[in-house]
Amino acid sequence: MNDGGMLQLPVDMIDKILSHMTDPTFLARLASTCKFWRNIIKSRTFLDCLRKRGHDNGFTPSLLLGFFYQDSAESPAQLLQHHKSKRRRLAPSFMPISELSQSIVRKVGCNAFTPAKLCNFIWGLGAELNFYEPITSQDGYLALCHHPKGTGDQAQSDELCVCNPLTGEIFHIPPSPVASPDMYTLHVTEDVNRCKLVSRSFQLLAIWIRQRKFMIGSYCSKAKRWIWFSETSELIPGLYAVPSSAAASHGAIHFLCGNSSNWTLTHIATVQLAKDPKLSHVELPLDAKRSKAPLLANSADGSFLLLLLKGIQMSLWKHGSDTNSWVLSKIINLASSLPPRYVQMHAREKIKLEMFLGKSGAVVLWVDGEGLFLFSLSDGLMRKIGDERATKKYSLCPYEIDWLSCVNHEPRC
Amino acid sequence: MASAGSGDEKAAAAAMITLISSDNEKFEVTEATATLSQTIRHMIEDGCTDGGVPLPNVTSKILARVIEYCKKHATAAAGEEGSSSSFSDAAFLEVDRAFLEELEEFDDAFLEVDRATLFDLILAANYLDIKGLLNLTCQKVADSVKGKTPEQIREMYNIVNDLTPEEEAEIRRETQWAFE
Repeated sequence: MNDGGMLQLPVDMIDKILSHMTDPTFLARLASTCKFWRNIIKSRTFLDCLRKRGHDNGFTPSLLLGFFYQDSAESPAQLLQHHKSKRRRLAPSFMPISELSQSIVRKVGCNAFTPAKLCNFIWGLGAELNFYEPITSQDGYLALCHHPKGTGDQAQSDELCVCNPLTGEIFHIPPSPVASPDMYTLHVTEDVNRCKLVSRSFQLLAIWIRQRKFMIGSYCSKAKRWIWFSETSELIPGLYAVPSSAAASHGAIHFLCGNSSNWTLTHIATVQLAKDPKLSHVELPLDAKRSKAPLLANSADGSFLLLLLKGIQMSLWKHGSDTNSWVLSKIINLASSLPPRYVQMHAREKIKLEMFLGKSGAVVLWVDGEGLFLFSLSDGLMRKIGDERATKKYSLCPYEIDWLSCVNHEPRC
Repeated sequence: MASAGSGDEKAAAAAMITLISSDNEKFEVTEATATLSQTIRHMIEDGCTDGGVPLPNVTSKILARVIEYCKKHATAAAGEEGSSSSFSDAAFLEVDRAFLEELEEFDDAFLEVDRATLFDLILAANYLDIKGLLNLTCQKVADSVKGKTPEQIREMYNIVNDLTPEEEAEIRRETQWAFE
């Protein structure tokens, strides 16, 4: 067999090799080498097979998974250029997770990788999105926000923009008529028209937390304007909402709520998105009430997931919407995932949950003195996020998307 | 024969199997080594290994490498059975880890071969049904395209670009993020 013999391998060997390629970047590049690879990689069988990977454990391995973050430290030349205004920032960068090292247990350390600039995703993007910070993402859409520095005390409206890095679309959002919301979140809907064509639209939701009420404003990409501002009914007396914990999906936003008398988290408040939003409550499982900082996320099927950390043991709870009860679905001992020195050094007191992505099952952990780690619930591997700038300080925004959604199937002959 | 010496000490463990390559070279291996191959395991179970196992799809050069792999991993498998499976115990964890690291080093060195040999190893691993070796070699090929541009991949594997400009443009458009 000569050196170019890869194409002469039997088909099942080729499939086997492809099954070892987990990074969509490599698949995309391989697909553009020749007809042979293109036809295999773009075939419905292959794409369906990719979709099914990892489904057994309830998580969709988001094949393109990473974080957008606002990188303020550019190359020295650019820094020099901007040295006068320290606060100036350039366009967000994307750090792909899949290119990180396989697992820190196998080989401690992490591979070198280059974060991608947003212009790698969006063709022809110039300085348009410079100084925007990633704030939230959902189903491929990424919301970016720029807080203009007001002159004087007057609060200025945020400059907002939503883009889809995978399709290259950019939507500039007019300023919200009401200034400075407490948080933003994205809600993506799929609409099927009469010809069974699927089109996607998004709503950018601005949320103000006013005592025990939520006020919600919605910008709709179809109507191209802010369409409604409405208030919910009140939370149960004694509860306060935690803004950062919100997770939006399937027509609702979920907030973790705490009890203001003893500062423990006790409930999840769900706001049904509509012109007259409805508010409902679900009590947390007892274990969560004892836990310091549980994380809330939405699973692919629309139920919500709760992740708790006690020592070095994580537990995953799932709320069944049909049964309206909590089920303990998984207990994960991090001892075997972390290098032994962390475990021996009693790092257990120094591990903190940072983020939880319910569709891909990705968990971001902070280990004191070591930095950020990514734990994947789907394959049980721990990876080190080796970029010192990838921290919350730089508006780290997780991005999980099935990249296959933007690849056309080969039309059947 | 080549593996004389080990036979006398542990008669039970040292049941020997003779493997015959496509170019008629004979290799004598222990049953524990040979049974890493599911294909050979089934032959042994069926009792048809007397007089050697002919492997008409595998050359002596490749078979020698495959046996080298099996020997190392057969000892690894035996070692694993002996050690405690209690992962909570740090001492055992340390032993397991050192062992795995050694095995990993062996695998890395084992894969330092030219591409033609690598493909032959894949075919042999598939034919002999050695799961570990098949995974290892396929992973190596998959890793070989990491970080490469389409042009570099074509060059590496002598691939001729037969895509039409339209097809190429379509892929670029759909997966702009994958390219610099």
